[in-house]
Amino acid sequence: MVKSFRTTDRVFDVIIVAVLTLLSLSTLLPLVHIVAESFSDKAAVAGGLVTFYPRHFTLVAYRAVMSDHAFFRAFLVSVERVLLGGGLQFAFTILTAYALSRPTSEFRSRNAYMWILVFTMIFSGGMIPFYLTIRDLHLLDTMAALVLPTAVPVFNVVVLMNFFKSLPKELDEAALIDGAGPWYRMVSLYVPLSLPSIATVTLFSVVGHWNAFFDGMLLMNSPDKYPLQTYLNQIIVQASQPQSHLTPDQIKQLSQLSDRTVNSAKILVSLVPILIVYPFLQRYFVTGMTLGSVKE
Amino acid sequence: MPKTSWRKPVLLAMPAMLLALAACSSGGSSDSNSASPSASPSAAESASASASASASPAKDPWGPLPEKTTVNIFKVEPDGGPDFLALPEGETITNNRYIKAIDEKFNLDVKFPIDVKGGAAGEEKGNLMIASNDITDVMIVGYNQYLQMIDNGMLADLTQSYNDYASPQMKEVLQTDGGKALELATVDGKLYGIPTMGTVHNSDPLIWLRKDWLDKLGLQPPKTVDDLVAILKAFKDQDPDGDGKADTIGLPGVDKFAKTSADGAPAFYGYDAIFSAFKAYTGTWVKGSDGTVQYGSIQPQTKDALAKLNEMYQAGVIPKDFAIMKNEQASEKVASNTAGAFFGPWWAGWDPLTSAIKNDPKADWRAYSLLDTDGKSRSLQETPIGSIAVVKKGFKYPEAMIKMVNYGYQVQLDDPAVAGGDPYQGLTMPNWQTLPVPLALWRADSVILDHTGVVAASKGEELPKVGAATLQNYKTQGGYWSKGLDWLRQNPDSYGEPLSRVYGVDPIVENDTEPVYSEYYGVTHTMEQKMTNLDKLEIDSFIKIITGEKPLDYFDEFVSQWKKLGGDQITKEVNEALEK
Amino acid sequence: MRNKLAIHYHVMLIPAIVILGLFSIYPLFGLMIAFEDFKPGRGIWHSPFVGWENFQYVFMLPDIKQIFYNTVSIAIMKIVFTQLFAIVFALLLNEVKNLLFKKTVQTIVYLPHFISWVLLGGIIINVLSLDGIVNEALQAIGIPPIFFLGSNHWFPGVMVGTHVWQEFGFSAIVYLAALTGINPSLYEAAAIDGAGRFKRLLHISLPGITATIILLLTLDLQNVLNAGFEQILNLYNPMVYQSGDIIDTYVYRAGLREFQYELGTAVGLLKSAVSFVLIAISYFLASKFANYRIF
Repeated sequence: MVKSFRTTDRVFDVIIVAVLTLLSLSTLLPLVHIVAESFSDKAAVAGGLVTFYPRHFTLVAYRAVMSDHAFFRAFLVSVERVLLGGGLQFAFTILTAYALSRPTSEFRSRNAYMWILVFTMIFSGGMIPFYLTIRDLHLLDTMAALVLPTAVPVFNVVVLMNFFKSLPKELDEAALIDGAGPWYRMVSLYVPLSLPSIATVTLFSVVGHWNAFFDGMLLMNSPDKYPLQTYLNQIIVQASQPQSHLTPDQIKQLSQLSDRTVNSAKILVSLVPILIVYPFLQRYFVTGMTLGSVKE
Repeated sequence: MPKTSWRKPVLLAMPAMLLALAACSSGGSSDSNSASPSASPSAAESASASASASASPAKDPWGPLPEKTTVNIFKVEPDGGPDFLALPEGETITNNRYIKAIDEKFNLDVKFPIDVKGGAAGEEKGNLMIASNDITDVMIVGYNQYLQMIDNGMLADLTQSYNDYASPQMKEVLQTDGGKALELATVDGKLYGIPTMGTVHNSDPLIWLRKDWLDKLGLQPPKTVDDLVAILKAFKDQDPDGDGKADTIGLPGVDKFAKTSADGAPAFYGYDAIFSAFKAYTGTWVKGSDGTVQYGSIQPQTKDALAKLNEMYQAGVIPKDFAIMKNEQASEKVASNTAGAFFGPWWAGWDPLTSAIKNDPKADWRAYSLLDTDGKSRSLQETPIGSIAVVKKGFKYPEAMIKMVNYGYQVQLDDPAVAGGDPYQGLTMPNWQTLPVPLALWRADSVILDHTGVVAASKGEELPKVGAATLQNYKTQGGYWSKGLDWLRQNPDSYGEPLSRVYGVDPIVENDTEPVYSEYYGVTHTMEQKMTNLDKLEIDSFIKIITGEKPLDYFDEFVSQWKKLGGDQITKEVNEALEK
Repeated sequence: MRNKLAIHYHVMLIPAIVILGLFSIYPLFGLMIAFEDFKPGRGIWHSPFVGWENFQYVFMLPDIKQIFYNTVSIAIMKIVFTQLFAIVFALLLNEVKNLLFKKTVQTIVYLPHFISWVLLGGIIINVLSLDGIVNEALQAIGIPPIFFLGSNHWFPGVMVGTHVWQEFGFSAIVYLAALTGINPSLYEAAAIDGAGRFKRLLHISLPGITATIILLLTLDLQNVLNAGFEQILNLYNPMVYQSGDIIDTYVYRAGLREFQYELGTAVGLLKSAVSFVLIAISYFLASKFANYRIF
């Protein structure tokens, strides 16, 4: 490593650190604001007095979250969804990506399959036909309705497929000479060599399932089965509902509900799993995200 | 029976008798699905306490069905946690004593195959069920959905069942709005559902002001818009909170600042009171001078109102960014006592004023009405029809739904005795929303009635005749009120309700506010296709004029645009519909 | 031999074909709605057929040109500025020697990519309102407050800005990968020749990723009709419909909220068709000029 002691380089360093620090802060501060709200007194938040540190520090909001059974039930549904859905996506992404990573010389129909996948990524029948399909398959109100339709994530397949393609051909040929079949090659050669990419697409899977909210509302027939984001969407969206046609009872109810501190706390608690999983897998991104390969 | 692509409009001008007439004329011809034998309708009125179910002309509002019947209901759970439902341990919204009582009384096995949490989700899921023609036996739907379902032939005709099986109490309460909701629910002479009513005066926009600021600045309460503008300028510029900083504003604002055809009048922070003060009723069908019905938003009065709003905007008493503010942000201004004035309904006492009083216990909030150019107080009312309980076409016993609503009505009236015993004897009654068919059948005149009740209770005078729980609430709130404002401000958790019920309704009573209704609440063919864009054009143009981005005369351009882009066609259709 | 292998690959693709066939291809029958006067009571199969009438109506809608313009202009600005920020960020981060600092910065700036717009929307409205933190900061340096989310002048810019804010870090990943691929001996040689850090960045790093830049811009061609549905749905309001309404928000409103299924489906179908053409174009452009295969 060549070290430079020239002053222009030092200035350059300072500028870089300053710019990067600013960029990081711009990302971080809004989150800090939410944290501050969640630890503040309700009236202070309603009065718009909270910025980056809590006013009248209190744990009331978190106690409310802890005693909310619906929140935890939804949390568990989401965990189940992530495990099942993520697992399915994991298996099917590897299978599909591997088959599609084969050259046309070895697998002639490969391009036809590929275009079918791309086609499905772009065309959609719309919400109503999708709902009818799920109903006719008798999947409404089941976990399967949340995990099966997305079990083959085309974007993830493309990322992993391109990583597979970028591995040196020689390995493949050596294995072929050893008489190893395609399944064996996939499991014991390609998968171990592709861990960064697999970690990356797995994170996409987990986050995708964790953040999905619309299908929960669409396909579940009882609130006990709502995933967390569907539940959160419901409590956050309802705050902006039009307020005409209310009965006196509903008025009382609304005034009890408009509690931003509790909502902030729920948002933060729902971010926790991502905050735990994400930094751990984040280091694989640079090597794992292969959007395509330039043929040299 | 699917109809043509035209949606049959709903008539407001319909004579009150029509329902009864329709019942007679359709009695013989339709209703092939109904199991009930035809009998003289008058037999139903006297039915209430008939003991033996087996002696069956079977027109008893409280009698059981002839056989055990399963009824599938689409449940929309209210927003809010389990505490709100006030159910005893072990009972839930889908499994409680009301549901068992319904079974015992009516031979009805209630099931909830589809259950959604929250109003917004409920609406979308409902739309989806309608779009996929996959509805449950009984549903509660919105008015648009209702018309859509009738148009698609999905609903059972309930005209006869209503006449035969609705309890006298339900029939009576459905007249407290002058029969408006029933008229709107009647399409082509047939009634397809039991509607809830708009509560009269519930959203009348009042101007809430800090009386202590008025006094400090030596100002009188407002009567006219100009009085109000003077007050707002003073509130903004003369440091009413006395902290030496220019940190107060005039009015807060909100993105939905005027009624459009799609949205109701904004309950909070809107400027519809300014429009009304010029006798302009936006988003509403009004009688023109030539006797035809015209759209309120394009009338010259609207231009006058916009001129005034522009003047207020220039004077800085309307926030620069009013058109992007959400309710919550406007509430913040009031809660933090940055704003000492805002437009809100009678019930603003609960929220935001409870927060405001917590942040500043010195505040003395009062409500006033603005008078219009005739010197009268007039307010546009919310749509007189709310949600509607309907029955799927082909369901064997459509009267099952009516019986459940009979029962639900008695529960809400705090009079379970009529329904044959209170299943929650000795326990707190749970929220009415735990009923299997939770239709909110309040008296449409409850705003004034409750006001009278609480005021009477606070003075120890004779109370109106109402159910036990309501009576108890009059006493509680009246008791709080009699302790005086100072006590209430020291006890902010008890402050909201009595303040709303007394000060919030006072101006409506004092000024004898006249309710204003639209001449037409239906949706015509062209409206269905073009109204969204016209609403957009309207709000866009209003904002441009108010903010001064365009001169006032841009209004005339907006009117001609509006007419050209489908407005004329829609107006024609509305008038045609009303002539029929 | 080869045929035998191919059978295995067909087998591997069975799950994908079954899943996509059931949940993506079969529901395409719903596209018939675009050619019907759809009556839910009669269902998709039995509603009256009206041919191209719905499409003719779409093109007559006064707003449709504006909606297309909004979609394309917002999407293109997002592509250009996100890539620009991502490139600068990647180049700067590549110069950082302190590993801890580098990792920390990376961890933070990628994060917003993983937060849903339901939550981000709330945060952004809060920060950008007239009395929000940004305007307070502007006022402190003497700039009058700006009406970000309520002016047709600013709104598209804010959509682009917040999108860049959310995505620049994550988009930089591909460039960081490309930078690690540059031969270190090039830098050493330049240093010996007396080139400063900035010069090396300009003359070695930047040319080293030029191919990647061109490639990514080509790939982004397929996104010019995707202006960000969830983002705009969460941030727009009637005041900025004129500049903020995009194809996807229109389709959503028409289809699930206003009972205009036919129009929603027709516009959605048009969008899909154009997107498909664009993807094909970018595929062939990349393949022809960069010798690159996307998929």
